[in-house]
Amino acid sequence: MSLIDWGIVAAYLVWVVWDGVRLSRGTNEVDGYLLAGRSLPWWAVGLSVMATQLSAITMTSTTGQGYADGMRFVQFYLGLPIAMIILSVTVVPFFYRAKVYTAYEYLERRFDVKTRTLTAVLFLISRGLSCSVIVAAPAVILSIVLGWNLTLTVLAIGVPTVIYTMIGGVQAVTWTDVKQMGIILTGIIAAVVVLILGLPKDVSLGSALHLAGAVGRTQALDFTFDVHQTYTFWSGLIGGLFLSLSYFGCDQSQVQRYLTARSVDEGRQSLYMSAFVKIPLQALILLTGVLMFAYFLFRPAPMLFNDAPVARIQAVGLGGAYTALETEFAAAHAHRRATAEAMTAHDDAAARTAFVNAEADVEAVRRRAIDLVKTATGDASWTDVNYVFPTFVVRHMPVGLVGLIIAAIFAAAMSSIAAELNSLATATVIDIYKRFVAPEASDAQYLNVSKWATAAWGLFACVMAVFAARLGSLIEVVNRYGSYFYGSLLGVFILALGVKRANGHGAFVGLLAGMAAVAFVATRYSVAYLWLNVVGAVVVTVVGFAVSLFTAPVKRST
Amino acid sequence: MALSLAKEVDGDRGARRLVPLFVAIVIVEILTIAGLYWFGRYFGSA
Repeated sequence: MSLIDWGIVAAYLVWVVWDGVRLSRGTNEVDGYLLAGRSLPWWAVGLSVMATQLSAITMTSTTGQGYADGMRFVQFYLGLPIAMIILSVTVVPFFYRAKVYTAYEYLERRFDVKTRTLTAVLFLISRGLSCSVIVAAPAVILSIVLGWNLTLTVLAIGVPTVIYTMIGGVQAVTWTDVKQMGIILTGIIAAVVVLILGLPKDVSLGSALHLAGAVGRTQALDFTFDVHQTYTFWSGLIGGLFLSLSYFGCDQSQVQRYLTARSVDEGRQSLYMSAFVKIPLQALILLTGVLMFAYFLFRPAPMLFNDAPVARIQAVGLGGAYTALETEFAAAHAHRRATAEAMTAHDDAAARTAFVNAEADVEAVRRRAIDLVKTATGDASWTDVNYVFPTFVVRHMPVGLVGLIIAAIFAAAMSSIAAELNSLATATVIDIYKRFVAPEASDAQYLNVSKWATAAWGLFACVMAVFAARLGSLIEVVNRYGSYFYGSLLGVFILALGVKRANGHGAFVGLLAGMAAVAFVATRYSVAYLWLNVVGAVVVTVVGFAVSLFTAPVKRST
Repeated sequence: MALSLAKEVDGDRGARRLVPLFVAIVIVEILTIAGLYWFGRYFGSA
């Protein structure tokens, strides 16, 4: 990385802390610190909602998925717009008018303290761990691609975020989210422009997309109904609907965004922004990956985008096999380029078949190289997909834009981490400290504890991130834990808002039954994880309703 | 379903105000799905 790029990244880090701290006015009361005094405009909240969901993992992993698998991941978001309609008429007005700080606080008013505490603790555990993954994932990638020290990279992402979140509260989180979203979008558009301009002169954008389409990269929709396949139209529309309902409706990291809006209507409008923009935005990010595929057809490409395990391969005596594969890959890549050029010149069935076969040869060599890494490292889930975009940025983007995109990856990570730290602190203070430790404390004391809770969760996330980075499989465990929990939590809120007869015992037992059912289905059957959200929500609702029928009804206070 | 929920929360007038937005979101989603389908078909074929 050049000095100019270093300067841009350093300037971004200094600016984001200065800007966040500058925006800390009005945060000398708990209501201002945690909910911005319910004063924020819909567009700022809407951008914050989107920035919270769009983490650095989205920028690196989703572009990589576009490169390796094409556009099909966009189906994951098909249920989101419908979820936003449902949430805008259910949880948004309910939470807003109940004047709660957390979604779980509402559950005590509707059910009882045990249901509130269980959901809050589940949120704290899952979000605390996922926050460390959001720090760890980009830190690992940037440290390998740029040769940075891993611990220092974790600190470079975590420390500035903790500082401005701790000092500025939700105001700082939201307004920095707005600007970070601008940086992220600028970075993605810059990458798309460089990719298009980087195509050979006789290869138009249309020809590049036809090449990608010939090997299935432009195929976005798959209408087969197969619960074992991860991304299909139906798993995205139905499973994605349940996941979006749960994430945007029951997860404090999102609920807290729209509770800061000026009114119920502005809270709703902030969600409508995602309903309109989210799918096109994700399609653009995936298209960046598809264009990288077309770009590397005509440029020298590494056999593996993460060559960190090469030393290990050599250490276990497989260096010769790896070198032979590299030679084979170079020949296959050159042949694929020739067939791509032939297909661009004349797109007929013969040219298309030759290109498809050449791409299969390249992929076969890559698969053997990946198998070699798995053998050498013992890591059966090893993949280099997350390294494609950062490698492209560092090796192929012009000076200045490298710094901009590294800053955009930082911005994507920090915007998600800040919102999560803020919501973790809120749930800790409101659902645990205020409820059980100090119910009669002063506003100043709650404010003080909120700030230290933010710092403590930040420290936890950074320490866990360093461990998570060294234990790759932990990331998968955390993600799987999230899918165990999300659908079941949604079930509790369905009981709360939609089933008048439901009571606290029903909700509590239903939640436990839902999580057990999801764990059972996930471990016994190879069901795609999006469907687990449906299983959890349905089991909690049915069991919760049944238990409520056989236990005493409770008086609703909200 | 969304409309009946909106009526319960916001009353008839509030619910009526939201209907155009719901319709717009559904239309945009259908157009987006159609666009993605066209994208795959057009660039995936010879």
